[in-house]
Amino acid sequence: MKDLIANFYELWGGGYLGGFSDQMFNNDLYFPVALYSIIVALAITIIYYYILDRPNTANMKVWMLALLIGAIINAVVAFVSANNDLVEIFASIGEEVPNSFSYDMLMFAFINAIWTLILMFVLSIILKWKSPNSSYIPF
Amino acid sequence: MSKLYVFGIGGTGARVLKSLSFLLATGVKCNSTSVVPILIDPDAANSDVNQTVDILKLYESIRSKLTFNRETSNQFFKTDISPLNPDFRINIQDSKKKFKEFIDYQSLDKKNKSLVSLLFSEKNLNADLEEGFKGNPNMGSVVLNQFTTSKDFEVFASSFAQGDRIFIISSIFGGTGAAGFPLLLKNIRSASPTLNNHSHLQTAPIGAVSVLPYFGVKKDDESDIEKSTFISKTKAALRYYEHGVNDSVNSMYYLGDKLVKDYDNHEGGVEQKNDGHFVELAAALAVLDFANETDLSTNKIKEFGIENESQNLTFNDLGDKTKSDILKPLSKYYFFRSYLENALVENLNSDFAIRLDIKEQFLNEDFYQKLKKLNKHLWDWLNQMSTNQRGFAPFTLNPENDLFDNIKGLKPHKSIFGINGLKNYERITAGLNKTAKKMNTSESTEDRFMEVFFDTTEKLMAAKYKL
Repeated sequence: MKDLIANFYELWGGGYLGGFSDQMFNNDLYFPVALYSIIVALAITIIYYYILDRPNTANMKVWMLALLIGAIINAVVAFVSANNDLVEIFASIGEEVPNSFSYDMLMFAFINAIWTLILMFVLSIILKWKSPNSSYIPF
Repeated sequence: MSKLYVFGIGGTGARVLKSLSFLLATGVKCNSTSVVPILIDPDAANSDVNQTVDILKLYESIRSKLTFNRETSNQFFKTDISPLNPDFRINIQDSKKKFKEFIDYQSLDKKNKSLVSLLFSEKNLNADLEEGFKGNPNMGSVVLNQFTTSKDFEVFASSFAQGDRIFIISSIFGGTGAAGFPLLLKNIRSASPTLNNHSHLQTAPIGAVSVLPYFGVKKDDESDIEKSTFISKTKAALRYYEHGVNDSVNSMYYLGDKLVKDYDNHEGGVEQKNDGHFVELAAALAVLDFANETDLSTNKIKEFGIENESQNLTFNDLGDKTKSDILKPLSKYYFFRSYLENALVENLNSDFAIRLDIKEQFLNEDFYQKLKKLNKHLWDWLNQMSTNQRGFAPFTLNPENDLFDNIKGLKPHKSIFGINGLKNYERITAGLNKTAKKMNTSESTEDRFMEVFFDTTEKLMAAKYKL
């Protein structure tokens, strides 16, 4: 499971970020980010299709806005979660987080946002059918 | 399968048939499976008559694309309107002559000419029959007495079957209707043995509405039509009807109103185009009352009344029976028409439209275009009735507020949450989406289209007004 989640974030080696990726994997920091991200994506998709759902929201613009919100929230979650955990880990050994990790955290946040978009698209396809007004969104 | 043959005589007859068509379009209950409208008016150019023919043709064409069976919940256009002939009119023979030519005045001897001069004025004799009888029933009674020999009347007799009913609409204060009604009644009750089904005709259940004066005409010295004669003509005719008509019909309806509004004085032709009036709507309700009547064993004379004396009537001013008959169907159709006019195009990407395959192409097809035309006529009629005197204005017709606030006298149920928290056309779209999900998509697009709007407006009436 740990390997699987790491593969998603490291893009099967294509997105491996050296020391940052090692720290994330060794300290098992990918899992909570993935879990929060799935919960956020699921919650926003359900809210779009079943709670906010009304004829005026049943269009591509609002749907894409929902996806964008999900992606931004999860990018922030990834960045903040990784930053907080790494600061704590490095502090415990009396060191500071390396400066190069700032760029790596942004990359990690970006990758998490992209996975969120893909996940929300898949969830949309699964959840849309029973929506009262949006069962043909995105198609 | 019982048919209701509805004769509309003269301009008032045509306008009542117009009102009847609109009531049937909205789904007001009619127990006859088919209504056969027959217009009688020698005035070929009469705008009121021609407009009614247009509306009847539109109705017939729209109805022909719809299917009605046990599973159909849609009641819009439920009652079939079928024509006796393509233009819904009985053609009056020799009506393109002057009256004196029609009665062959020149060949009369001196004594008969003197008698004719006693009965008809010089103006009567020189009147062109193509322009109608211009408020002269003495002319009408001569000319219309021969329509029973017309081909159209023979077709009517041939198609008449046991169980069918006949209804005659006429005004009592004009020319064509006042003359035509007693003649038509007499010719049906004593149908010639040469006609097919003459025995069925003689014993047929017949209802009739005689419309007493309900509007006036402006003074015009050039015109033969004079408002001041309306009441005297009415009194004379009523005296005759008391013994010559009332006993020959199963149900006789009398309607009238104060002479509140004076229309422009047109003797006939293209300029005779009176605005829709509540009395015509009430007369159309008399037709439906007769169609739905189960006991026709005794002769009945009926009058129509309203609950509250008001110059601008709303649903709450009507009697309970009338209110329950028309409030819901008219209101549902009001929402239907408003949505089509103001919201449908923008909602072709909505759930219901995609699910039911209602696309832009459908809006360009003959069915929808004709529905749009009929709706325009209906809207004009509602507008005219609302500004006429006495007015009937149950809806706000140019709304700027929430659509559901527009049935005057009804307070819509409002909510903050759920589907009832939505306003205006968005609420209707949400209802359409919900209804469409449960619909049978194997029906034709036209059937699906009408069904989804009928069912949705039905639920809206329940949710918003507890009706």
